[in-house]
Amino acid sequence: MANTRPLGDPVVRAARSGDTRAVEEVVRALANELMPLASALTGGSGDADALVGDTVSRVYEKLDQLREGGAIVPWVRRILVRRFLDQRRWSLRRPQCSIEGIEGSTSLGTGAELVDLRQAVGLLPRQDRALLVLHYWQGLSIAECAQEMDVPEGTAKSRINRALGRLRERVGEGER
Amino acid sequence: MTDLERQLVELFMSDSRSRRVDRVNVGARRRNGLGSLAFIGGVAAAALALIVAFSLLRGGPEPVPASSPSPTGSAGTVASPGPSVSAAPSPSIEAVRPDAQHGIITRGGPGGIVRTEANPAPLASMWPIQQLAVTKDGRRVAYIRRSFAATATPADQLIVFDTATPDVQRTLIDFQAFETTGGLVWSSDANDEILIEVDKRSQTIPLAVDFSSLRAVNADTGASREIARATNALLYPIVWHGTTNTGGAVETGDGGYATSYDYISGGNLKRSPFPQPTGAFAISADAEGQRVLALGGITTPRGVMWWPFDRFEDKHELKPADGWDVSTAFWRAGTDEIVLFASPTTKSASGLGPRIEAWTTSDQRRTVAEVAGPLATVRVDGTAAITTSWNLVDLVTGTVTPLPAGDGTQTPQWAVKF
Repeated sequence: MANTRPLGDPVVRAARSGDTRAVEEVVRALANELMPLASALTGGSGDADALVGDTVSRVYEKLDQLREGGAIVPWVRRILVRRFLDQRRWSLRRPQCSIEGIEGSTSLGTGAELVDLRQAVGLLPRQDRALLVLHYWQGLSIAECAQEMDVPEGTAKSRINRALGRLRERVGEGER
Repeated sequence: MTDLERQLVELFMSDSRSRRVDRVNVGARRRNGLGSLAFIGGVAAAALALIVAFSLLRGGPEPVPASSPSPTGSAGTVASPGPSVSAAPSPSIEAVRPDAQHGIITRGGPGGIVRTEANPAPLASMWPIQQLAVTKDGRRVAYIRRSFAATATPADQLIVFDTATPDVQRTLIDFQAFETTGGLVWSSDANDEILIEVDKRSQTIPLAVDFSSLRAVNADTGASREIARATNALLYPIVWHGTTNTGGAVETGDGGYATSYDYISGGNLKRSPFPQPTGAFAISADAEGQRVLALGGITTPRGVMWWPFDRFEDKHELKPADGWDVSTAFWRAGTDEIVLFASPTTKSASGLGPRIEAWTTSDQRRTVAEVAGPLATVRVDGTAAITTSWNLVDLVTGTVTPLPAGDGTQTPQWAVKF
């Protein structure tokens, strides 16, 4: 489960009042918060930078509406997932903020099994991939996944099951 | 957890750490946050417009957390989009306020906390919560804790606690490795039973279940008895009367939608198919367990349907006004009212914002208040609603009072009483 680090009230308050450094601090904090999820969703690719950039741009545009202590992180996480699901919208949009990412402390897993699995996950519909990331890596329950993606709980459950079935077919877990 | 699931965790873990933020480029602010009062009004209007626009784009509202000047309105001052009755309160009525007797259970990631309305400090925490149910008086809680240990299959536990001592949590049942639990509800009478769905995973067919069962569990001893079983659908409990062994559940089929309502009596299931597929998660019973409410339909606009728990054939449908959709609905305890979150879906409703409404079972409607975020829950005594954007909405006067949101990681989900 990724940790959520709440932004401090004074910073948000300062950002809201137009303090440029505070704005940058808020955007940077959110970008750091979102990057692991974006990387997991996009398979560790550079697409994560654009996805995070697009998401924090939306927050940036709405800074005036944020009140200190608000549930910013869960809110932006949800925005990020929805932007990921709607690739067309975020890739065609000029973001107000851009993120330049670099390789992290851990490089992509290169074991044969993980490479095969990454390929197989990459072939899944975005919604299925997002559900798997939210459920297995973020640790959200099925109900939370459903809420996060605005689908019925049963749909989330059946999509996860179907996605696992497809992955099994492609990576041949059943044969091991 | 299977090999595949473990590899998925490893893959996502690896991918999530493979990239970090190096530089952030922030564009020029389009406007100064220290603008004029007129500008503040503009922001509020723009926020409202954004919410409406986003609802239209997404088919559902995306709440802005703790948004600035909440577009609140007192009852009677907001035009109701549907057939409506006056909701103007008597000026002498004092609005309900957050207090220490009413509590909230929140969700934040897989876990949650117990807190009072007035104070965000956690009184106890729960991790992780799979499903949760609260008694009708709000003083007892049961939840499913599911652990995904790296070397084991998912292991479910049924945990109970009293809100008087929320940090004293007792494991009532450790489920078997081949069992998975679904929903759970407390008995609506006074016998302290929990009706829980338990399905047995197939040992031979991947992803299949051999059967889905409903079990009544004694909340003090953990002793359980099977009430009903289905082999070709997953059951989801809705209501239970332990003293008479009667209740209701829904069956879910492909896609997870509820396909039928099952009246339970004497261990038998009397099936009544839904007129259209309905999300199982959006079906609930009132505190007394006498009426069932469903937020219906896959396509918008959605309406609600209610029926006596033992007579689905007596169902009543209530639809939103043209250009409106409802997305969450709860019974209001002690009244004949259903509390809903309604949002405009078409231009014909432009100029009006999302709001909480109250509809009686005989379809008298009133607007309670305009709010930015959807309904999260309703107090167990029916006096107020709580929104996901941390507002307490008095269901009589329409007064909206911000609740302290805490560290911003939690979302209100269930109401309890201390």
